[in-house]
Amino acid sequence: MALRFDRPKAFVAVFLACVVATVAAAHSSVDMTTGIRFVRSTGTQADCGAKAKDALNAFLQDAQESSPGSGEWSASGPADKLTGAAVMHCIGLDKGYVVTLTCAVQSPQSLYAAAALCQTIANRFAGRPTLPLATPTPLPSGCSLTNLVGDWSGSGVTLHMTVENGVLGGDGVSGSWYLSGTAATITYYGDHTATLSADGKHLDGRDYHLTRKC
Amino acid sequence: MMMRGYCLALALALAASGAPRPAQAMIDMVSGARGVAKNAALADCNARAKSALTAVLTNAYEAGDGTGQWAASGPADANGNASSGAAVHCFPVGKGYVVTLTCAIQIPTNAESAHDLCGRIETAFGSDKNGGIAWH
Repeated sequence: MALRFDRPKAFVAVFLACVVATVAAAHSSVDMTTGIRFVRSTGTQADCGAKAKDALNAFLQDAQESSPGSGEWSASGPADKLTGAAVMHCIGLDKGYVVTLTCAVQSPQSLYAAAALCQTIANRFAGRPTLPLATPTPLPSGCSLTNLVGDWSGSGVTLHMTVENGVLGGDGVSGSWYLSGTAATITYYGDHTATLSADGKHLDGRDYHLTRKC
Repeated sequence: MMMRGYCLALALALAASGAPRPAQAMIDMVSGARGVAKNAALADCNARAKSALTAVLTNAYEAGDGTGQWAASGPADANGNASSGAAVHCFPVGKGYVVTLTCAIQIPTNAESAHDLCGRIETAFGSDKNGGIAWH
């Protein structure tokens, strides 16, 4: 019996094989923690809500109460990535209120841990001094001519290239890089060739024009 | 040879169509329901919190002995990375307690929403029928 070649099915199979071979989800995880719980013997749930909103907005964005009077406040951020979030519950007592705090960040994309986020929000809520949360820092190494390690941006993408020849995109897709002399190949949604500049700071090719942070 | 041809054709088709890229991964975090038990010991809340978190996620733990603050994460992938997490806060009020749920998931990695995750934990925690707990 002769085998029949089903072209539509073969096309779908090849499509899936190509996707699996070239696109892999980035390794990241949810880092979640319960923060400090405050119990106040004075004040109302509304007082708590006002302070919760202020504390959340100080380090995240768009703090909102799930429904008016619920005392359940949440916020997320930063605005361009949404790699962190926090929830505060204000519970009114006969005298005063209790407030709980829970924080979550996407690791390692977030520059700080959930515990650091919760600690900072708690300090703000309590009126204690706060320190700024971590901000991006330059890579310790310069623009190497022997590798592509570092953070690259341009052509509408931001790519983190690792020492293990990995390429991690901000959209959760990973790929790989290869450098031979000044000829670079970036495998990220297909293969893209580019030339590394003499100062190691720029990659120029048909598809990508990238600048390295260094 | 035929396979390479299909791959080439597919690549050209995708390039020509401007196929959308996967959505950016982000955190989806929600405040779940709040439960009130008017006549129950805080230990009951703690036991339920641990049991519910263990039933739905993994590695349930109390942030500190007696704090009533429970958290768990899961499920972990082959590299040990968890794509979701939840926290349960137990706090004594009067002769009973208040329990709050908070859930977070990573999207689009996780198919389930944070809201649905909290719903499963609420169900596992118990309700009026088996514990005298009213959820709001």
